[in-house]
Amino acid sequence: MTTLIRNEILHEIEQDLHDLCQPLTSLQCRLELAQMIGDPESLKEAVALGLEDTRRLFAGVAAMRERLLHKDGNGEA
Amino acid sequence: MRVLVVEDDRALGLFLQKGLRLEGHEVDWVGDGEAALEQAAVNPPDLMVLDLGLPRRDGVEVLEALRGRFAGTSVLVLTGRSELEERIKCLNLGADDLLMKPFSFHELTARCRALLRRAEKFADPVLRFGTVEMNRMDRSVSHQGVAVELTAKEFALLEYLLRRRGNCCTRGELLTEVWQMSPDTGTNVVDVYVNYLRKKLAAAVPDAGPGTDSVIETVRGSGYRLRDARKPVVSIHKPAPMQFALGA
Repeated sequence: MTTLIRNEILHEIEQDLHDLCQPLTSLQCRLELAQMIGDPESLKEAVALGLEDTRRLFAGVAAMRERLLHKDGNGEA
Repeated sequence: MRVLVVEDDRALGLFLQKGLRLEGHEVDWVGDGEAALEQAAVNPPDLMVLDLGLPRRDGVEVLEALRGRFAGTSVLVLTGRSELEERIKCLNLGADDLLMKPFSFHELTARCRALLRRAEKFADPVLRFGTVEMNRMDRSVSHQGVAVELTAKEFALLEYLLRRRGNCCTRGELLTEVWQMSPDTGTNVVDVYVNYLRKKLAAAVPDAGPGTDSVIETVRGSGYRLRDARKPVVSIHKPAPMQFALGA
């Protein structure tokens, strides 16, 4: 039973990690490209849209934390 | 090269399109698997950058549908999952390479360049644009079916323009790629050779009529691009008479 629950948690964490990859990739590439171009407009755009990526990252981390706390609260983790 | 980005995340898709355009590619972006197949059928890309998690036919289904239909298209799969089985399945279905998310843009472009280099080795030796045709195997060129004799450098210049399929090539880019010179070199060698090419291509079809002679268009302030001579001319930039004058 414990093994099943642990596997379920691992599966969910894997899903959460997958969801974090999208905005993290976007943020990483956005910053690299802005650095390559280097003009003020590109840097400004990278900061503005990069903040949108970090907002998505925060949401992903919050979802992962919520899931772990929920498991813990039920005494299942 | 023509690249098709298939990514359902709008921010990432648009961003990859912008970044790959800066690399000099002609890039389309679509957000689902069905649109990817439709787009590939209309405009077969040289490279498809394919995300696996897609709406309306996921990446694996797209790979299955592509198999055997687009021999000239290389596929780089983007995946957010790390399962070995999934990677093996993609490769067996015809993917040429895989990249795990999160990735660096530098790695993505390096892999794209590697795939395009590899594809080039097996590419069709014939390049065509409009009425110009080049066979890289027997090193022949024709304009409206009439053979055109070119020097090695003229051939290399035309080949580069043909590869860009009507997209603008800057003088700096041509200096770097065709002459292996710094783009800052103070020379008009590009303009001189474009002029030679124009004359030779026009001479092949002297009776083609007005408006059909400017196969190579000047993009004012930027460089040059090929024009499909079968299409009507929007604006003609007549180059000034030129003398051969290498500054470096």
